[in-house]
Amino acid sequence: MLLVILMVFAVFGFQLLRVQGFDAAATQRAAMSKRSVKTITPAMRGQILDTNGRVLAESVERFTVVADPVAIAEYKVKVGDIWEKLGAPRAASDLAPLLGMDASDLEARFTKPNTRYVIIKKDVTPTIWREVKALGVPGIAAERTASRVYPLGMALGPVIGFVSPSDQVAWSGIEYQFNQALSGKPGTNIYERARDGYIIPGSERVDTPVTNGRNVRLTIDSDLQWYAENALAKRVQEVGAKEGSAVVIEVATGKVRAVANYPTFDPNDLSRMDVDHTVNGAFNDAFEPGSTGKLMTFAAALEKGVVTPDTGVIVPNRLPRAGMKFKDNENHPTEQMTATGVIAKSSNIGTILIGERLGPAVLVDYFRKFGLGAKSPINFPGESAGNVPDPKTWVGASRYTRLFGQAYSATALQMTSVYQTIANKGVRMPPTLIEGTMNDSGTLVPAPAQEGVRVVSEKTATTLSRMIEEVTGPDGTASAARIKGYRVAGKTGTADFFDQKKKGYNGFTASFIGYAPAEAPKYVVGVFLHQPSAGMFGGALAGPVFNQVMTYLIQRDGAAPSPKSTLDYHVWAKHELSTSDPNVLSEARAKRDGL
Amino acid sequence: MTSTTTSAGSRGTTKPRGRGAATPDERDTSRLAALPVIGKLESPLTTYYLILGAMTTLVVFGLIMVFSASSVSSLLNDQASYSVFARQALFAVIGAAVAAGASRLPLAWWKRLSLPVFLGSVVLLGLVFVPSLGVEVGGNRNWLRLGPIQIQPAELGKLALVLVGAMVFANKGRLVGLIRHAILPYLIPVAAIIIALVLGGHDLGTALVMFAIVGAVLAVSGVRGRFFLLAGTVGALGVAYLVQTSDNRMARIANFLSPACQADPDGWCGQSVHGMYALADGGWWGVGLGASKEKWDWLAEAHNDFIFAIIGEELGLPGTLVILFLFAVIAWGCYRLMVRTRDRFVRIATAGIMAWLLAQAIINIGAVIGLLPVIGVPLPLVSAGGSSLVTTMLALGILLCFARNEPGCRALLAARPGMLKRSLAVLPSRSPRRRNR
Repeated sequence: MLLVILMVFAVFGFQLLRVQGFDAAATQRAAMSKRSVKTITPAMRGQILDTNGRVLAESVERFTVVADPVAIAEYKVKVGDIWEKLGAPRAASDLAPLLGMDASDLEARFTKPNTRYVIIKKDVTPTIWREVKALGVPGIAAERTASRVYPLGMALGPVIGFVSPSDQVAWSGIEYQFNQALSGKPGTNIYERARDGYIIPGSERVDTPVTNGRNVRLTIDSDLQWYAENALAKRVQEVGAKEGSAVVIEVATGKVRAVANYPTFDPNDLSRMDVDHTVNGAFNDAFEPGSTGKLMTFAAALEKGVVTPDTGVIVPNRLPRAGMKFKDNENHPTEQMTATGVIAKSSNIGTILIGERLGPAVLVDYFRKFGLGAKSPINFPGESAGNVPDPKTWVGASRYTRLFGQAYSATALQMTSVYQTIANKGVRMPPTLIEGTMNDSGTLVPAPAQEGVRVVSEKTATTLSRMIEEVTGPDGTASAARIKGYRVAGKTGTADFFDQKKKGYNGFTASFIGYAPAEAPKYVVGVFLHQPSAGMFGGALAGPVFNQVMTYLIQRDGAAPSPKSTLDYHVWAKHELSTSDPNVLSEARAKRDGL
Repeated sequence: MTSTTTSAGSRGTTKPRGRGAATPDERDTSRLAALPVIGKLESPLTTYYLILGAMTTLVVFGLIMVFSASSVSSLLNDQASYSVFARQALFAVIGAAVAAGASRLPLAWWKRLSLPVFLGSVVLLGLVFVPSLGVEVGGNRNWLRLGPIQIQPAELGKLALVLVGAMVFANKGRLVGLIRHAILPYLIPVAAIIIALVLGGHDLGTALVMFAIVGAVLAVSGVRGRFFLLAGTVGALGVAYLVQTSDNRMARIANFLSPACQADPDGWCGQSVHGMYALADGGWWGVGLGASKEKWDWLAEAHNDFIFAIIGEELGLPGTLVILFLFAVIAWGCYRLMVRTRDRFVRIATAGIMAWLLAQAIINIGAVIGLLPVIGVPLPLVSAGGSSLVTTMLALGILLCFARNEPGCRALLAARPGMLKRSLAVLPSRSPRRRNR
């Protein structure tokens, strides 16, 4: 008997060696997978900040309150000295005021049959959840979620973009472009649970630590943004424009300080969103700039020595070119102007007489140096490069219309950047929107710096800048852009608007781009109104927005009033111009030169 | 228990002449005694201390493990985490008192007590079927509610089988060679009544242990091999019939043999699978006392039928092997008693008790480690459960009583200094033992 027992024990011993020793690993894995529970800690999405560190977008902790109808039935409340089981009706009446819900609606959810999981309310703030939790209703639980909040709301919607509320997936704008840095990586924790769900003490461990998203700091100045958006929105409504944009670029750095679009959308309330309004039109829509493009023609002409500010130009009412008769905005008798006058009064004919003396290749070269036809380093999602046609295509009427801003396209950002180049003494600073991203220790890692590119000489830039001060002068096209006590340089633009939906020209683009004080500008402001229903001229329509934003900037910066310019330029020729004068530009001279 | 285990002589001789076990044993003993260390251990007191030591260790071990294994489930049931442990400790104290009393009872008393124990157990087993007194737990109607306490009369039934068998066959002497005497009156009616009552409550596990007791009693009494073969076959057929006729039992066997079931922690074999999980989690060295994860409601009956798995999980291979070792020690102690005694009653009763404890331990451990189907018997001395603990300790108390009556033992025990003096032995004193040397 003893022998048999010892033999059985020997067999048991070997079985134990196998089960506990040699073959244990596989069983351990099975046991672990049975008990272990993986929880995902969502990464907190990084903030988007403005240049001063003010929050433009941030994620806040929210809770989805859920209920287990089976457990709620056990809700007990102390009545007097005894605990009474009052269940779902009492739970509903206790929770209704906290959650701001109807008690009968709550009770219906609490008593939903055949389920142990009912979603009660989403996006509950931590404060409310703490109060709900304090009631101690059994079966009430919460899942931690995040909600994205955009303090500037509509003012910056198209630039910031949005994330979908349900899963925090980025859909557009900066949210989309910097999603990788912003989103971070969710962490996983593993714990072992008891059969009924308790966490077994000491079994928790971190599998992958959560990496929260990094903050992204933009060059946007939220005060200025707010102001620009309001000024633009008001004007778009006043003039009945379909849409409008305003761009403010810092002259010395090329940093974009404000990008306003209207109509816009509120990323806090996507239910009222119109998909068309989520587009950052200032970056993504290319349009024919119109007269604001004359600046590049003049820059090239000055740089190539074709004209000086005082060069006389005889401007007829009509100019036959390429089988067409070109005209100015208004009929006028033959006028005797200076080159300054041509740009100040925005004469198309005068511009043709000057610009036709430059080859298309030269002009295309300047357009590209000014940043047209290529995306900015911002590389915003959906950003347009615009379209600068090849010199070979500069034939027929387009050979001439391109001199005054038609038949090619550029974005509001690109056009404002052109004026930044002139304001910055001929050095173009490629526009940027990102100051940098924060690293793990919270220090800003600056975005790669953009190097300035000299487009025209400082002399040309200074001269041209002084010439376009006349635009806001007594004879210029933009009296509405004037700011008392300051010299304002700028240019109006009125262009035929090519409607992509109608596949044809329909309405106008009225614009004004400029800067002040002209002798020491800190900011360039570009205002663009597309398809206004009241009026068409850039000076009258866009000028007031420019005026308000520029005035705000001047007042904020406390810029000193401008001294009188040392450069004495005139709009009208000081003496009678002769078609035979070899220095005077005229139709006769053009014929002589075989143009 | 098979016929090969018949080690004691069938003709009632005092000198054991088994088939291969006894003679080498004597040689072994003398050879071992020649070794200086082992020789010192060999004394008339050895058996006494082997059984006493193994029992005490198992009970204390069991208390600790019951505490560890039950603490979580008690807590999850809104009870104090030591509630099961406290009950078990109380029963351990009662059991210790019972064992101490039993060990000091004169040997003749046990012969006299066998009949009353038998009658008492039959009455109690019968009372289980009285609707107001019997309690059904997990399909087994084997509990009796007596006022504030519940007892399992089947435990007493095991003791009755041992004592009555020993008394009957000790008195029959050589008559057991006759089949008529082998059957009457022990097999029929004594064993038959008790086992029938137990099976009436659907408690197959206890019945199996009782079969083992009966088998051991018959084998040691010197029943002929032929009859044994016959009885064994009848018994096996009986068990097979019982299994066959119960869907529940058939399913248990089928699932035990099904690898798919043995891999599904949520299915029919969940308890067995989680037992294996616990053992594997423990691995070589265990997760540490108290650190079991399977006791968190995963493993059913963690403090009871499956406490061996929790021992394996918390204390690893050393823990499980120590349990095996301690039961082996009890088996060895019983074996020593059987070969050294001159009293047939003592030999037969010892064999019965040995079969009882060891069969129960083997059925329990075998089920936990996946070698046997889960039948549901507690691990003697270790599992939680008052009736089982107290009666098992009573049985061991009887063994201690037998051991005290070994030749020379009583004299040596009497020569020991008193309990108080032994307790103060660390204090400087003139030791009587030193004088004896």
